[in-house]
Amino acid sequence: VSDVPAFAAPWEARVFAMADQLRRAGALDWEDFQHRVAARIGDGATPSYADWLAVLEDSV
Amino acid sequence: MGAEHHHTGTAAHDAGPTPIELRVAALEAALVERGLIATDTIEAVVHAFEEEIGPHLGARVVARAWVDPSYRERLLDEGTAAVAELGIGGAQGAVIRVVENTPEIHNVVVCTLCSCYPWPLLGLPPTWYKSPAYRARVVREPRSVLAELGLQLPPEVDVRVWDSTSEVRYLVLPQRPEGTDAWDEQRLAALVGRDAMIGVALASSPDDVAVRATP
Repeated sequence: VSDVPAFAAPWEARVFAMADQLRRAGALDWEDFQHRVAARIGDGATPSYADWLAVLEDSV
Repeated sequence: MGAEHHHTGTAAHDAGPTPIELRVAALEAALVERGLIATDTIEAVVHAFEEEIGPHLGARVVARAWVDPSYRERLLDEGTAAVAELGIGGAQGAVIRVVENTPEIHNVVVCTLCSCYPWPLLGLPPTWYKSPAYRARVVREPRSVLAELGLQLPPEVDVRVWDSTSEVRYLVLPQRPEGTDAWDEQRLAALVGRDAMIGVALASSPDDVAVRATP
């Protein structure tokens, strides 16, 4: 995790925790995940946990 | 501290789970069912952010810097390493930089881009920190914004605004309140609130604490 933005709500922390746990379990390729988040939001935009959630939903 | 009044949140109030919360719950249930994650671990992380990681950690750092001049030097010099000395870390790549308030200089922190925040030291950010109004205005007119948040600075004090990013997270080292010469670290830490470490308030004075302790 190169950057963990602040959590605005508990659900954001849950999304972060899920992604982190999947990574630790080897169920999520982190680099690939970050690329897909970046691809989703476009250049230079700041990813939100809603983007993380959408990419995680696509991954499972 | 009154700062919350600055911004009227747009979060849903007691309206049941929001659509995104339902999606999070559904994903979590699916992952648990497939044995990929354990709910306990998710709870532990969320709990850590809500309870264990909070401004009390930043307050410990500030109090140590107040009582130990060599620690203060290291803190201002290499924030990340000095904070790690107290067992606080996990900023995952972000450097922690500590900026010191003096009688001449007052520092205040913002993230103009989003909501970068020294979360290992302060926990969850307040809602107003993320508000477009705070992010935009504190750069242009810091004095007015601080005054609205209840902090009136004398005109001779120089105000510096620091923009946190994903690489550098700023923390303000507030001035040690008067009348605390004989105080130990633990008592001092109780004077250091979250807002003081963002720079939108001062550390509490011993009088404030005495008033608060008297019902």
